Formats: sequence, structure tokens, C-alpha cells
Amino acid sequence: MIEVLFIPPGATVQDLGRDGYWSQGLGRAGVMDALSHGIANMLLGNGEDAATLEIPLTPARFRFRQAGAFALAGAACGATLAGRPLPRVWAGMADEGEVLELGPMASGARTYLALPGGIDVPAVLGSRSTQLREGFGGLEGRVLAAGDLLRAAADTAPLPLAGFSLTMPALRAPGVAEIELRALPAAEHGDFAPASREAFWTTSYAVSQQSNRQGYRLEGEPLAYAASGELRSHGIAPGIVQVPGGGQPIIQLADSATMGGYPKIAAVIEPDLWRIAQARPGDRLRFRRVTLAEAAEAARAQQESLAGLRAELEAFRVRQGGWQ
Amino acid sequence: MPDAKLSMIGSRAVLFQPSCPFDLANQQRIWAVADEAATWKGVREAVPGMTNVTLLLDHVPTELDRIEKDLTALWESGIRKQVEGRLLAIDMAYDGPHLAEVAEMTGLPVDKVVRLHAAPEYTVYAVGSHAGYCYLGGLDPRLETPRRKVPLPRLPGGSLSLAGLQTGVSASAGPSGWNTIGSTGLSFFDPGRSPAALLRPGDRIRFNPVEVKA
Amino acid sequence: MFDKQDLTRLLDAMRAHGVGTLEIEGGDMFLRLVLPAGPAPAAAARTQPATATAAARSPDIGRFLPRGSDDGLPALAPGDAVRTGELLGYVAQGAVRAALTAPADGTIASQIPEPGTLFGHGDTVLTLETKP
Repeated sequence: MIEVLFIPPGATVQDLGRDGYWSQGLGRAGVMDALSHGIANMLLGNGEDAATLEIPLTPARFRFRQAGAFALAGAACGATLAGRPLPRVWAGMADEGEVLELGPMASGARTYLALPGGIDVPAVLGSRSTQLREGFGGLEGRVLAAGDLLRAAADTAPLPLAGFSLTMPALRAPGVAEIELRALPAAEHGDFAPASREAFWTTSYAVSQQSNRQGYRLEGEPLAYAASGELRSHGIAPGIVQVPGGGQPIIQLADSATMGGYPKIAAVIEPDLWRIAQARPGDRLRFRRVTLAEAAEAARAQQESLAGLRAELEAFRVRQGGWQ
Repeated sequence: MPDAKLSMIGSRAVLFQPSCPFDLANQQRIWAVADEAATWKGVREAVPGMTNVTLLLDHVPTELDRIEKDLTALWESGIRKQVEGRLLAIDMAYDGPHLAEVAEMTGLPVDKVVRLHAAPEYTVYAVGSHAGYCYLGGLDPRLETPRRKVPLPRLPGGSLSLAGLQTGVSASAGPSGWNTIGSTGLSFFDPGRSPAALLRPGDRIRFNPVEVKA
Repeated sequence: MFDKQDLTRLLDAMRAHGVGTLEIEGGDMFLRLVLPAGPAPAAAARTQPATATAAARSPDIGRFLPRGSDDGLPALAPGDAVRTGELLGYVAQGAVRAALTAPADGTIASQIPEPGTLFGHGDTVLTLETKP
């Protein structure tokens, strides 16, 4: 069990999201960076849907009320445990009374804290994700604050004593300043002026300060929508890039509205949503057009990569077990 | 591609938008298409929108043509879900921040905007945007307005808004790109209730103006 | 997984430590190396160390990965002061990075191995100078 000593408002308990209520207008919520969340869970031997704590703002401090295992994955934040520096991806033990401290995130925008078995909060409508708008799920439907206690759902996790880390995919291609997002053209793509379509696929867009779990507002070449008339409201999914009248794109994300009607130019593919989650205000995004076949291949490749990681972790546990 | 009815809105989400007038008969066809598509293998959820259906799939689709063909066939078969749902009377204060703006945009005096808005019996066409929010059909076309160029970041729950030929009441606080003209205290979504959403497609609403303040 | 250079290094290590048989198992790989029995290596002249030392031993079989590449930590250098339990680097196999930690408070008294250097479980990766 850990106690929150200090945390800026914004951290929420999330799992992979609340499925099945889209028709009632309830968004999926869930982690913004499913990759880091999944890896933090994997490091502790948790199922991928175990709840973690999504931490978008630091500094933050936690005290271990009891000795226990924990894992961190996501943005580097100068994490220390009892003053000992931790890497940005880590699974290890903490002694009773030790303080886990997270510092400023220089690059990357979110880190995930996992506990054995997942963070123990009640499941509401089938999920432990927090619905901030509706005020339920996760920890009492709200962001965390000093004094909150987080319990682990399991007593232990299979961990080598000294702890370990994992190589994770890089946010950016080597030597490239921009974060590349693969995307499919969406319904109104053809209704944007040719120069705008060109700008969208070839120039970069900066993440503005108005970027959060609902969506990221971007700044760059304005996009001119050439058709007229209001679109009828329809379902929207995380990753959809809408362009309201002002011409600046918005990427809708985990806590976005479940329906909307602004023109849609593209949809970022699911395997790249985690990259958006790790983009900070000021970071530049570049959209790369892909085909449906490439999107399917990207999903398959990501699944295969995760399966490979699971196998390597299992082999590691076997080796460690053999040496004890 | 203006004629293509199917488009991607995510790697695993497709939007089916047949061209048709925006009316109850077509929306009833949409309800039927959504109900049927929800039973198809590989479809996780089918969500009716305003004369459109969004499908969430299990996997990235490899045969978009197939899906478009099946949905089009279903649509063109003309099946309709003729539901007469419950009728709910809702007390509404017409006191929203954009009431005067809507009067200006429509060229109508404020009290006429209120009368025209409160006159019809609205049908819930779709539930979405946020939990419990009902998209209502039946808005008087004289009240048609464009969406706001810049959405407002936060409006309280119970806000009555309109844009295009659509109108609805928000169920919780949040951003909105529509023009807000009123407010109510009714609860449209409760996770403790089953179903959690108060209203379903096919239910009907009548607004009872209890105050007018532009 | 192991190339000729790796095997040569392993065999040299075996000779240096007087190990006759080495078995390595991991994932779907099994390797056994056997050295023919020969004269015991000459005992190295042991001088009494002026200060106490402690060895940071490899927690796994794998290749050394230094701190500070992509983990958000500063790189480690000889002479750096470290605390008990502090992460000094990794011994990695594939994506898994076993943590090499300081066995005691002290300062780094050896060179940091080249990235990619192969270590067996229990091998000394770094030496620390500690208070006697």
C-alpha cells in the first residue's frame, strides 16, 4: 500500500478502458499510453488490464506504507527511491517507509506506476478507469491528491531482488526532432483544399498548452475545409483529427466526446496513440499517411513485439529462479 | 470522396453515412442498421449517430469493401425500427449564454426562439457525445445555426444547446461547440442505474419553459 | 546468440577462473563448454589491498549496457560515489535489462565496461572501493 504525499492534480487510476457503453454516450477513458501501462504491468507479472496510476504532472511523492513491489514505465522523471536514482522503466522492491519521488519530466509527458495485481479500486461498469467528466470509476471518480492511499490487488509479484528494467521503443526515430504519427485519411480528407492536405501530411504541428486527456490542440499551417454545411454528429474514436472552423487541428483522445461533427481529416492509428500521450506542449508532431493494410500490419507487429517481451520476461524469471 | 459511404475514424472504427434527408424515418432505418450490425461477427459495438452508424471492430478491417457492401445492402433493404418510446416532460430555463446570439443569427426575437424551440415533441435520435447526452430530432429549421468556430472549454451539466439542425441537453460539465440557450437540473446518466442512461433512441422529450433570460 | 568471439571470451574467462565446465541455459538455448583438465593457473601474486573493495556482480548472463543511454539517468564514470543498492548499469539479454546494483557504499574503482561486453551470472562487472 502506498500513500500519496504530494501530487499535482491530474493523476488518475486507469486501465485499458470501459468497453460497451459507447451507445449510452460513455467514453472509454483508459490510459493514454497503453504501451507504457502494459509494460509496467508486464514487469510485475500483472495482466495487461490491471489498473495503474497515470501520472501526467510531477513532482510527486509516494511513501510505501508496507514493503512491496512496484513498477514504473513512461517518461523519464528523475525518479528516486529513498534517494537512489531509478531508470524510467523499472520494476523493483521498496522497503516499508521508503519514499518514491518523481521529478520533472524533461521529455515524455506521462509515467505509469503499477502495483502487484493492479491498483485495487472497485470496478464500475466493467472497468477501473476513471470517468472524470461523469465523476465515477478509478479512485472515487477523481484525480488523486495528497493523503490518498493506493492498495495493490495482490500481495506479491515475482521479482528478482535487485529489480530490473526493459528496453522500450523510442518515441522518435533516431536523429529526428519530430514525433511521427501514422494516420489514415478520414471522411472529409478529400474536402480539404489540396494545399491544406499537402500541409497536413508534410509539415509539422506543435502541441499547444491546451492539450489533455480529452484531446490535443495543435498549432501549425491552418487547414482550409472547402465544403460547406454542418456535418451530422457521428461517433468519434481516439486518434481522430478534427478541424474546427479556425483551421487548427485537434486530436481527440481517451476522454474525448463520444460523438462530434467537425470535419475529420485523418485518424491516427492505434499503435501510435501512445506517442501522442508522450508528446509535451511544444513538441512537434508529423503525420505520415498509411494504408489500411499498413495499419493492420502495425497492429500485428505491435502484438507480436509485446508477445516477444512477455516471453523474454518469462525466460528471465526462469533464469533468476534457477539461480536462487 | 463525397459518394463513398464508408470511412475510417480510427484503425478499428468505421463510419457509415448514407446520404439521406435528416428525418425520423431515416433515423429509424439507422437504428435498425445499428441493431443488426451489432450482431455481426467482428463488430464490437454499433453506435447510431445522426443518420449514420459508427462500428467499433475487433480488428483493423482488411476488407473495407465487404463491410461497405453489407451495410449498404442493409440500408437499402429499407428495414426500420419503429419504436415509440416514453415521453418525458422537462422543465427548462431558457437562460443560456448564447440565446441572444441565436436570436441574432436566426433573425428572430428571443421569445420567438424560445417558443419555436419549446413547441415540438422531440425524438431521441442518438445518445452520445458524453454519457446520457441525447441528440434530439425535431428542431424547427428556422432555428438552424452554425457550430461555433472555437468550442467553449466548459459548460455546466444540464445545458441546452443547438447547432445545425440538432439540439440536445448536456448531462455533465464539459466542452461544447454548440450554441447554448438553456439549462435544467435533470439527471440523464447514473452509473448506479441500469441502464445508466436515462433515455434511449426512440424516447421523446417535451421542453417546458420555466424562465426566459437573454 | 553467442558468436565465435563470445565463445572465445567465455573460454578465456573459464581458464582465468579455473572453471572446467560451464553450462548456460536461457529461453530455448542451451550451451555447454568443457575445458580439458590442465595445470591449474598460477596463483596471481596477491598483495594486501590498501582499501577494501567490493565487487558488483552480474545478475544475469548477457551484455553490459551502461547507465545513461535512454533511461533518464546520468552516465556512470570511474571515481563516482555510489550508495548501496544504487543502479550502476544493466546486464541485458534481448529487451530485458537485469539491474547491476552497488553491493555497498563506495566509489567506482574500475573502468566501466564497453557496451556489449558479455558477462556470465556472478561475474565481476565493476569494482568498488569501499571504506575498510
